[in-house]
Amino acid sequence: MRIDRIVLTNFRNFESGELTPAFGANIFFGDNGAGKTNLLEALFTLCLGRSQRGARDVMMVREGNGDFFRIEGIGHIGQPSSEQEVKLACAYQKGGRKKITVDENPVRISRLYQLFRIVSMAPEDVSLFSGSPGTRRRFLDLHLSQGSPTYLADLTDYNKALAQKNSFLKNSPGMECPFDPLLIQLGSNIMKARHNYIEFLNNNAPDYYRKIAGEQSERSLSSFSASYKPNVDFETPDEIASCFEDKLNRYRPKESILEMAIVGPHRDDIEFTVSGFPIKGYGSMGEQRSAAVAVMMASADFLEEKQGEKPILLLDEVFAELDPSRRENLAALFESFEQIFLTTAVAPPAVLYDNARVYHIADGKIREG
Amino acid sequence: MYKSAESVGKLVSQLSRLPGIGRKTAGRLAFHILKISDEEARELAASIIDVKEKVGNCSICFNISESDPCALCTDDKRDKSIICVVEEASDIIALGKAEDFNPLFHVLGGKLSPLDGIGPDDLYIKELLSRLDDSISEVVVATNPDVEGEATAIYLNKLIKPFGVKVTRIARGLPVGGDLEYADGVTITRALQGRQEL
Ligand SMILES: [Zn+2]
Repeated sequence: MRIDRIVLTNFRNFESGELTPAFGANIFFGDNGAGKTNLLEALFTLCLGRSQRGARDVMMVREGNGDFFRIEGIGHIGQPSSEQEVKLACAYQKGGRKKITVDENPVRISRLYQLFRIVSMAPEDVSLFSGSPGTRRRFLDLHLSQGSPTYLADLTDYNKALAQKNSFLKNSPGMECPFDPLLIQLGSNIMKARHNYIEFLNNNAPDYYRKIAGEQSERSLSSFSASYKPNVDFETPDEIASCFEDKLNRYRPKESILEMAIVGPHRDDIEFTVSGFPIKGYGSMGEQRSAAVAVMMASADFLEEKQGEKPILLLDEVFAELDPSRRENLAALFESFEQIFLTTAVAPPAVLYDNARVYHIADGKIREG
Repeated sequence: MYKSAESVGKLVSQLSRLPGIGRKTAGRLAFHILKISDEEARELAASIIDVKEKVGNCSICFNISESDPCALCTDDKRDKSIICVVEEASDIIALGKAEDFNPLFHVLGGKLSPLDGIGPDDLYIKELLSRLDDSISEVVVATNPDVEGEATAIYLNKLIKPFGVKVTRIARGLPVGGDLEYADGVTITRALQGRQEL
């Protein structure tokens, strides 16, 4: 899959702008604050309907004149032998709702998840280790939703049912919530999928971590691991539903007092460790960034395994603060992707740079070459 | 200054309280009513009053009906061992289109939705349970396939099971005439989750 053309209007610091990206690497050069990351955000929003930085729609409207933004694009999905052209557009008007179209037909965001898949890497990814459990759940949901439309549907329904339950607990304290059986059913599906995904990360990320960190890290050969900390303990995935029900029964009085649902996957977490210690607080910043990239690379493999096609990579300043040999190690991993977009202040390693399409970003203008 | 008649204003505000009618549409309807003949206007008013006076709920199944019990509950040709549970009386019309399916019905009067202030006591659930005797062998739950309809179905299943009555759920998923090839992954996955033994 790839994006062949993207046109921006009133998006962030771009009054207007157009890119015709190539196969392989597309590099955005520019000073800090020139808006390189905004271009990655436009690509992400075009393909998945929202900002990878969690920015609200209104924040993406260009300051000053105008009260809307628009992103339009053309891309291809599927294997080269049977690829299919797709026309995407995402438009937002202040005070209104974002309008997303595929081939000029209005669609819901969930439809986008069935077309393009994206893995985005940025310096902020270390918040996977230092941030809240909510940050880690958003990471899980972003990749699992792209890997499986059913996961996204289950998650959407779970959240609706959860809102109903919280309302029920406020109005009918002490009673068994009629939404519990549905929450058990959907929540078990969600936890099973998360269990499998984290197991995949655990099997694949350590190898990437070793490749990126190379020989230089004393701890590079020590074990990196990701372990699922589900809110409901279980031995095997088949037991999730019954364990979930048991726990709900035990916690019913507590939920009733708190007037809040406190049992279920909305309270899940993941623990990342190196040599058995949490990465947060133990690993250096360089190790944390290597570990974050390893997790994202494994996520890209997960999406490829699930959907039979490599996702598009968005790489925001991933080479910054790395020594030359680590840069080489990292660049070698990206080589096999069909399409990559990367922002950088300095030239990346030759393996990416040699055949790349280069854009210079300055003063809200995009200049190719 | 011209002031439109007070009675017209009253009609507009009454009409705009109907579902799906905004103030603008209400105005158009009111001026249309002004133009129709006296006889037509009387017929319209009379049929509104008629509906209110004659149509009520069947005290067994809560279907809308002019008689109590309703025509469905007293129809001898129906299979009286099956009760099909629906959210609204209007759903009976849709299910009535099915061939070889002539069950008794039960209207819940909505679906569970605490966010809208609707809990189990606000639906005709106790009345449904009171209908479950030895003559009933199956309850078919035909609530909508959205989150609230699904929660209502699962909740009813849990309540009814102890009565020793089989509870089934209408399959959700593939639209008739829809090609498998074009059905999206979610629809197919969920249809497969609800698959039945042949
Ligand atoms: Zn009746």
